[in-house]
Amino acid sequence: MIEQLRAKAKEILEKGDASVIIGYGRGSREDVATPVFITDSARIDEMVFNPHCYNNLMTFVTRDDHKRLGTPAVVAKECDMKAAIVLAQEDQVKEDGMLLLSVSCEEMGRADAACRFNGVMTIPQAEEWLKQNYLPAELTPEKLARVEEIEKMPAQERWAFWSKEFERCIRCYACRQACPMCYCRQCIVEKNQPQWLSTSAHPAGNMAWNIVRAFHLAGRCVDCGECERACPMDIPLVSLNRAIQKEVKSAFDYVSGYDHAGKPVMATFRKDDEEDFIK
Amino acid sequence: METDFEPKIIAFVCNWCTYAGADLAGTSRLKYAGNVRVIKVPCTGRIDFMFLVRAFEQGADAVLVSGCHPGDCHYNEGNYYARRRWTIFRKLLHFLGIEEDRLHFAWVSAAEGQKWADLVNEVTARVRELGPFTGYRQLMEKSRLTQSAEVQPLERK
Repeated sequence: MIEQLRAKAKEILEKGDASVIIGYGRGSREDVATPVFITDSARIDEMVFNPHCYNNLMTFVTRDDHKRLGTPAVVAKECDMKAAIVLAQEDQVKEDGMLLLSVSCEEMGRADAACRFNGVMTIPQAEEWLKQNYLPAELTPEKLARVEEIEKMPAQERWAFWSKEFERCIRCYACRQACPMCYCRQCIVEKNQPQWLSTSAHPAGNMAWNIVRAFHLAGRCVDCGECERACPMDIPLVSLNRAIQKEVKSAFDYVSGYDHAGKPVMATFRKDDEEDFIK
Repeated sequence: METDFEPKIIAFVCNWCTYAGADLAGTSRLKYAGNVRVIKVPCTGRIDFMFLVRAFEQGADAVLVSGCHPGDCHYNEGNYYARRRWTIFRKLLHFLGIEEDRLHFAWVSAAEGQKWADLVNEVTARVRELGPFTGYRQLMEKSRLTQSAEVQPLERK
């Protein structure tokens, strides 16, 4: 599988369809991989793909220092492809401004899991592929089990649960850095005129930060889970994201990452949207 | 339940409909609960959800958001965008454990002075039942922020 991926990547570079390959390289240990940026086809053998290639490489596509490298071809798993689609939807990349080297892994993290190379795709092609191959895996009962467990708690218990979880937050913003959707050049938490969010790692500031992080992803999160994996304090951020995904799905029948040409769900409306909560 | 508890309710209202409606309630000499502090904004679409978080940080027991009825928005569609935002945001706060009755949404037109008065009365009664919002207050106390400069009202320097 890796030979196919390398051959295709090499071909893309040599033909000039892309000027940089953003992919995975060998990490410092067996069970980690590190991003590589390859502009010279002689280095193509640095590329690897295995069940430990977690990072969502779309985080790099929107950053100025990587934009300078030119049109990218990015190794992308399903959720990374969704991230590319949302980036195109939000005008962060052009529809034809990137190629995707689509890969799949049977089960991330399991060392002997089988990996596949699905071919080179443009963003619209990736959308079609995902609709056929990945849409049924969204928001399945297994994925929502933890959310529903939390929902079953009485309100006060939920508040206690989340307060306790957020209390551990050290405000390292690893969740934000790992997130392909957090591409703002200046994050609201770094703005201080006026200062909306307290930046100290105390319980109130942490609550506000985590509300902001979660809600700024409403209707945009592609459920790649990188925020939670990046979190050094093991805060269950995925449950928070999925709770919102679940509401977006039930209120607007929308799952993000499947509509590169349409409007983002929170940046549009329908006149007949539900409003039974409004008096 | 505390008997002398007076809920503190922050209302974000739009300039064109609900503010005028509240004004009408006043000029019509309607009597209603004095627990509401009104903040006027141009449009419900102008209300960033951080306004609501900020209100809770500063000790609000509940927040009320009110604007023009659908179709009546002065800017044609601001309230439609707001409606989507609140649909999800209230669920997020609920998921975090903030009781649903601490967040209220309404459409009150410039002609609905009576509706505004009834609304404030109803919200105040509900929050009175619920009691003070100790959850956020405890967070603030734990953070030693209750008296510190960090949570003073926002001001541009």
